[in-house]
Amino acid sequence: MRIILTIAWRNLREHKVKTLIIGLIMMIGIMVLVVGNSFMDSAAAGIERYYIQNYTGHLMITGESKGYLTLFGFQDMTAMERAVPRIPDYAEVVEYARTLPYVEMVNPQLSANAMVSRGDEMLGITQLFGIVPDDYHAMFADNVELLAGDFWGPGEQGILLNKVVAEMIEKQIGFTLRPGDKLLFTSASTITGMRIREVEIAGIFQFKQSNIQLDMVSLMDVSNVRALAGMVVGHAAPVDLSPEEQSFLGAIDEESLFDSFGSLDALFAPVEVEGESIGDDYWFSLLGETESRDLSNVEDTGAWQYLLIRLTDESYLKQAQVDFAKFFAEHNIPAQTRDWMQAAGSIAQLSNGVKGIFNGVVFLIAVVAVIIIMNTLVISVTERMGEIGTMRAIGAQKGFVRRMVVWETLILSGIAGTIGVVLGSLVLFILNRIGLEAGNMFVEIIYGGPVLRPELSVSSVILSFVVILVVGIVSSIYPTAIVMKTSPLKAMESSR
Amino acid sequence: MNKMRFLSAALVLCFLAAGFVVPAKAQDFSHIEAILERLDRQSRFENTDFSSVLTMVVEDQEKGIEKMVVRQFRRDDGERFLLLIQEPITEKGQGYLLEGDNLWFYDPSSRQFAHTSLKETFQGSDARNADFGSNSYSSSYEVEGYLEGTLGNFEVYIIDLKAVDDTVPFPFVKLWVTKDSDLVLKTEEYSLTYRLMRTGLYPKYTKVGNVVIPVQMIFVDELVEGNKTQISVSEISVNDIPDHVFTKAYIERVNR
Repeated sequence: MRIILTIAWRNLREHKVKTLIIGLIMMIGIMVLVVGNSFMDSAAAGIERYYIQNYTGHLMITGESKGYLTLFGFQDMTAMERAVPRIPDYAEVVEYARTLPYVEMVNPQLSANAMVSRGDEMLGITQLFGIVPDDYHAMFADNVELLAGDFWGPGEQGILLNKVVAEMIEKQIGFTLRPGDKLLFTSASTITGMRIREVEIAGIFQFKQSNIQLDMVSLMDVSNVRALAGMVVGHAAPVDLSPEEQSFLGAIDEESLFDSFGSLDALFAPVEVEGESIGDDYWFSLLGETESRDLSNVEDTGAWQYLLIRLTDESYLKQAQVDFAKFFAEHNIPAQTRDWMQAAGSIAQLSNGVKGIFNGVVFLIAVVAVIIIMNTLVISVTERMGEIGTMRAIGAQKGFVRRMVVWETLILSGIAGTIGVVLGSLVLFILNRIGLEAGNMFVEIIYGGPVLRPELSVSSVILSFVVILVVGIVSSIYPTAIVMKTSPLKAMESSR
Repeated sequence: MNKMRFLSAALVLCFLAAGFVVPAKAQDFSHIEAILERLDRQSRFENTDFSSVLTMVVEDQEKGIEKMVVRQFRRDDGERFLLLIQEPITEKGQGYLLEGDNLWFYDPSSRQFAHTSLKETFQGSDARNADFGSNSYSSSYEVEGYLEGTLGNFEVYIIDLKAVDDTVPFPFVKLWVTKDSDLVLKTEEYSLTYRLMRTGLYPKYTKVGNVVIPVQMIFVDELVEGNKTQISVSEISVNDIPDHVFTKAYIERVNR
């Protein structure tokens, strides 16, 4: 072994130019990997930190449902077709959550989308988070920066309008919105139909750390959000259908529907046309009593869509998921947990996607590096064909020669990699000091905030060494095969 | 030299061939356009008001089966209608008031009106607000083509229409219209990307004076399998409706 290492080291020193070229490629590759992966890890950690601390907590409990349910509602093709489910047996779920020693805090929330209007004028849209100010404040203490007004008080109603939404509205109405102004909010869900609420602006705010999705979020009292989301105590009465109505339930065969009519006349139904004139009383009593309607539309105060949970430590996440799943199963509660990443929605996942793309680019660079290094090694090995032939002639086995070439590559990888890591760390140190400012919204999403200060991540160093090791070994396979194919006699002749 | 001659000859032949191509004859859609005009005309109550009760059965994969009862008042001369919801109880008193180009929605629980659009879905059903007024095929669409075919026992024109503006719910519509009686039996409505969004079936009609109205309609949601709405029309009347019924004040008052 010592002999192999000595020969490998001697070979590297003997062929300084080639060693330098391959070493340089490896060093630059490692440096790019260390910087790039640390950069992406810092961004991902930043996004995770700011979502957990400011928006989602570690865990989100929702009613059981398939599909991509986030804190912003469903974010898939079915978004308009489905209502966010309520958490069944909410009181029981909260009580259980509070008994768990690793649960630091809980915060219930609601979500709805609403069009904003004033008088006859449609002014824009906003995403609404229905919150209880005290609970929200306790969990996300440093997230909201009030620019005007304040949260509404206990038992009061109101909206904290996001600065971005407020500016969008102000552009159209031509004056500045102030606390005390009233706006109309109309929800238009295909599930719950339309609902309107007039809500007073309690204040204008901005999230301290935000992005394009969060800029559209305003905070509203839960009563109004429940009303807009159709979360009322009343339920539709059981449906009583006539035989004809029942006949049209389920799938319909269009051809046979119109086959059943023998002639055109059969398409015409004998409908009685009322002829009697109607008095004024009729028009004003059309609806009959409306008291039972009003009672049905009373807010369902126990209805919540999300329960956000902050753990004392992130390491309890798996345990929490298991404990809640067991609790839901034992108590037959159709609810489930989702982690912060699912809760955060598409924008947070976008940064993860960017990391995937970056890794893809790294893979491509690695393939190119393998080809270049392999090519250089082939030349290096071919030039030493005579020397290798002599070694084989005086008794060196094939395995000896193969190990020699591989060790040459490994030594080179080790040295170049270490230098690459050191240089990469230096670059990261400088970037960390300077801080990278996001020039636009897209970069801000990737950074997870307006400024990114990348830090050296251990995983990126390990990954980089693994990559360079694999590159080294893979790129030495072909040159070694060439050497092995050539007979010692031919190899010695080629050196003359 | 030979090559040059060959190239020149080929070029001349190309030009000649281009000259002999017969320009595609613009298809004559005048008889189809006449059908659309008749469809529009026979759907409008020109000299009378119209009122009825709409019973809607909504099949929804999420919500199950729901029933809605809606009072409909129409005054086509003046482009007005009022839809007043009577059932289910949680939506009782909600109303849609069309005044010319403006469609208002009224929510009795907040006593507020808000603008909405004829293009929107009606109360989470598969019907659109535009389904409750008279037709506007001839003014809102242009004919793109047509075929002759059959639907069940009936010979029909299958007419492809393209919207001329964005006031209608769907930019592309296909109509199955009976040849001898101008009845729309089926519609298919498509998105801008020509994705089928909704199928409408009209198996029953009635005649009130000169006006022909469907009294049974089925709207099938083509995006979510199993979602469907059937509407039947009853208690039809062409008696005069007081002017005040088509006002915001009336909806507020009837809800007290």
